[in-house]
Amino acid sequence: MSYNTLKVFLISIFLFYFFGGVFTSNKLNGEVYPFYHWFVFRDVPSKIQAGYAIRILEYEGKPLNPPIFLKNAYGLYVNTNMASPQYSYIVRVLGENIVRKQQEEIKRHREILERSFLSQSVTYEVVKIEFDTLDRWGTEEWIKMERIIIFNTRDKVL
Amino acid sequence: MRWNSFLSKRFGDIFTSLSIESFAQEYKPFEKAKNIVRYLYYFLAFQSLAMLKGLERNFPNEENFSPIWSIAWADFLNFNDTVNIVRFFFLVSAFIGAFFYRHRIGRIIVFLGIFQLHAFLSSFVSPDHNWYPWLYVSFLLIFLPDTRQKEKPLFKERKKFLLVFLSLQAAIFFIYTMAGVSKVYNAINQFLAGEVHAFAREAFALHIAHWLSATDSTSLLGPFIIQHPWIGWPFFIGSIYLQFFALWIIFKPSLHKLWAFGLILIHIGTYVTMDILFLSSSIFLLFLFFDSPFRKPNITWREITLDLPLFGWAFRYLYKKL
Repeated sequence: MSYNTLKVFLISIFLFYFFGGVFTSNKLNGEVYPFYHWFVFRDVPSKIQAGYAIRILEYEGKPLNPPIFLKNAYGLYVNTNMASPQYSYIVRVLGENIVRKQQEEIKRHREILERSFLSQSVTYEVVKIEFDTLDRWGTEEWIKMERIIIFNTRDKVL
Repeated sequence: MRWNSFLSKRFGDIFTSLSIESFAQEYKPFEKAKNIVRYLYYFLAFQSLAMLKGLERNFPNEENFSPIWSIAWADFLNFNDTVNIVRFFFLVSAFIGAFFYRHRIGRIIVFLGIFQLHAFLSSFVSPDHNWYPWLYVSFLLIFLPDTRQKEKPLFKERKKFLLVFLSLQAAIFFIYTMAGVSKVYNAINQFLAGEVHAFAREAFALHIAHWLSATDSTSLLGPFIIQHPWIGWPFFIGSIYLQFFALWIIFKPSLHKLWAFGLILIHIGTYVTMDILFLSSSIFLLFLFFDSPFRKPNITWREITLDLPLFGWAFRYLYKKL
């Protein structure tokens, strides 16, 4: 390969990867391997945010009062094989797919999540929460909570 | 070379400050680049030893393993066999690279080892981002011209070698520029939408609070910045500046070391504030930029200052005016 051909080839790779990363960034999961856009922390979180969370309502037939957020259940009702950011990713993608009624994706992410429960008799709800970003850290406070759906690990949608 | 002179006329000395031809005239820049490449492969061999134990932590995670397209063969094997194949193939390929990095076939095998390792790590819930820099660099290194140990390569081989080396530097700084450009672009959009944007005083504090909440973690300085957003503000603006202009700095070798150090400081900063440690690109910031083959000896602080994006342009303008 001549020098000029190599130069054009290398520049083409960069451009191809750049456009591939930008194009795939609009996909629901944010990327399509091996393209990655590197648009990390591009949006400043709003002071008041909406997100998704999971609360465990019943565990092995016993109601939990009050219900427990998933992130507070690590080691108690949920195993710790996945890192916390991976759980956050699953919860976010599950919530978004429920709203968009993407049944296949809902099924896939439910399976991943439900495998993490230490017992397979769990009733849990997916909630949409609104919270103050700065206040929520360290306090778990929220402004508004709305249930989207309840799941049971025995596959009954309530 | 018509497009070279076209670019030079319109963009001043941006591109002419880095002329591969002039660096290839001398033997020293090539020798330096060659040594850096050699030590990168040695370091990768060390990484492969670390991953022998490192991949064991995936054994309990079998239930979340869903092979992506590039490791589709794993669907036909049991999980333990897959882990062993991946980690030992990576080990073997890395040491093939340590011995035979001068030969393209050796470099291709190294790339395949990293490709499979990365595909494996990306097959659990979400893609792995840590090994992307290695994937890019090992792929680009395939295009180095082969060199013989005892022979001095010709000028055209040195030129191609330095060009590929430059592309490695560009690949690493490209990552940061993408992050910086997206922050600036979205800052403008969020400002126009009346939302909090990246240049706002509380931007960094919001990022920290959001991330620490999402990961249910804490950090050394995160809580302090959340309570005192104005303290984090200049550091966040500085980090956007360093990221945004990173790819530009490829053409300013006087700034290679300083800029790379600045980017490493960003990683230290994200660790102490957001509990995120992204080590893999730091390896390349050190190897590729701290002793850049394109950095001329006896660089003065005046040259460094005038090469700075924005500030250097302002200084040049004022200097011309005065």
